[in-house]
Amino acid sequence: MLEEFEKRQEQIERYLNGSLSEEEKVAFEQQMVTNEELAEDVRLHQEINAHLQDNAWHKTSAAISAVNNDFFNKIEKLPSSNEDKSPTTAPSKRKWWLGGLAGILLLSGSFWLFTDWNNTTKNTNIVPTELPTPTKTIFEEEQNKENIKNIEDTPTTNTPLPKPSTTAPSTTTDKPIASANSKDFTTNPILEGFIKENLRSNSSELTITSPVSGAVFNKNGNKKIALKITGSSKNGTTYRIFIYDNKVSNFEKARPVLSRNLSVKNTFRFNALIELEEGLYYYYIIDANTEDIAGIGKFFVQE
Amino acid sequence: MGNSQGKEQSYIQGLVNGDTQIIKTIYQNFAPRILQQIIKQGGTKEDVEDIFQDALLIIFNKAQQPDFQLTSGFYTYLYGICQYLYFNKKKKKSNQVITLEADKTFTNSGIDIEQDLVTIERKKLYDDILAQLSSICRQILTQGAKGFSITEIKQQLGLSSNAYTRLRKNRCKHKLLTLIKKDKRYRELSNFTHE
Repeated sequence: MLEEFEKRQEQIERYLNGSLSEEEKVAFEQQMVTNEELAEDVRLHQEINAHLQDNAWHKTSAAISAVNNDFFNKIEKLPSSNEDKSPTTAPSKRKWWLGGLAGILLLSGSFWLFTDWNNTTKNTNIVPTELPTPTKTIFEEEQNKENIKNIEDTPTTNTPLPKPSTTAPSTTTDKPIASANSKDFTTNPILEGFIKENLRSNSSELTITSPVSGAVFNKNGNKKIALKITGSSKNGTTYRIFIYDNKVSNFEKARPVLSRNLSVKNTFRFNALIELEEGLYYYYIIDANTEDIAGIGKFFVQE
Repeated sequence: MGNSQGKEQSYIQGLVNGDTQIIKTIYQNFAPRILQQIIKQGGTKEDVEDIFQDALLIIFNKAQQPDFQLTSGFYTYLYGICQYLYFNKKKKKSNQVITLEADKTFTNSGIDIEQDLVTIERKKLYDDILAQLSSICRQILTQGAKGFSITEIKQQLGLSSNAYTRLRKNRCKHKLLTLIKKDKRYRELSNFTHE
């Protein structure tokens, strides 16, 4: 679905920036005549682009909103309506642009941070002998058993991603995709990007308490590792958890090592016994309803 | 007279420039009078809070148009728009057609703000939806709208790779469009013709 969306967006963008060939343009315009939804998308695309660039609007509306709040908050003892205020005029929602401007102003100052990040990323191209040791292993974590919902064996009911090509996999065991060589510890730029973003954003509904990102699981001669992911959710919803190896590139078509649905109320514990080769893996959790990233982290598997 | 005209023009210019000091002056000079008028007609402080803000945004939108000229005093103009918005709001609340003297006065003044109202409502809708996206999404979409390439956006925002930036941009846009289309205000506003 997202792939289809991407194709359409790309075509709209090319149409609007004039990079379609004459033939393509004619065909696209004919399509718009018969396809109302496409025509609407083109118009919406144009309008949003113009709106995003309308700095005068953002500046003035933010200034009016701030003065309006200030002015009317000072006025007391006047007739007041019991009716709810229209949500369209809630000023707090429209203050993001102020934050955005501040963000842009801070952007240049933030490059050092990104530079540091990039350096860190480079340093994580490591071999097993240099692996970091987590301060606390997941097995040592104290858990509130009353609130924890053990979701082991929760079946995947609706996953958009294809299952790994395994022969009759059990519900808790999935075959490895990664094989043991030094390349298996190379960081994945796409997933590292998500980790960075997730760390920069505090708005996530989901908090992962373990494993800490970068944790190491030792196989100790066993074929499988016992992966436990614990955390809590502010609102409680259904999440989808994926485990990827470090080689995933086309993310939308990616084949996860494992995918499961997680129904979370407050706190949760995800248990899985997975056969994994030595290497770097990522756990990636999305909100099943919105498909927003809820949590992401990485872990290493070593002998 | 010239001085007064200059002052009136400075209000318009202040709105166009988003000048907080001038906007404060507009509130100090005119909001109490309009508040009094609307309350006399049965309105509330909350009504005026919404109306006054929208009226200024409408004037801002009008002032962006090249043929805009303030043909009356600023207060008269502002008051006319506030009256129109108030009756519009009342009409919406009661879902009834009401004939009001002030409404007629405003219509007769030749000022057409119907399209401006649709424009600012759409802009407010986009702002509300954009506020629901993450900061990084808004930045990616803004830079994309400005015509920056994926590589440039990656560099500007310190993102890890082109593939990640492209994927993020698509996801952000998908979420933005889905949320806009799901909002009932979008359907309501789509019934109006576009300029």
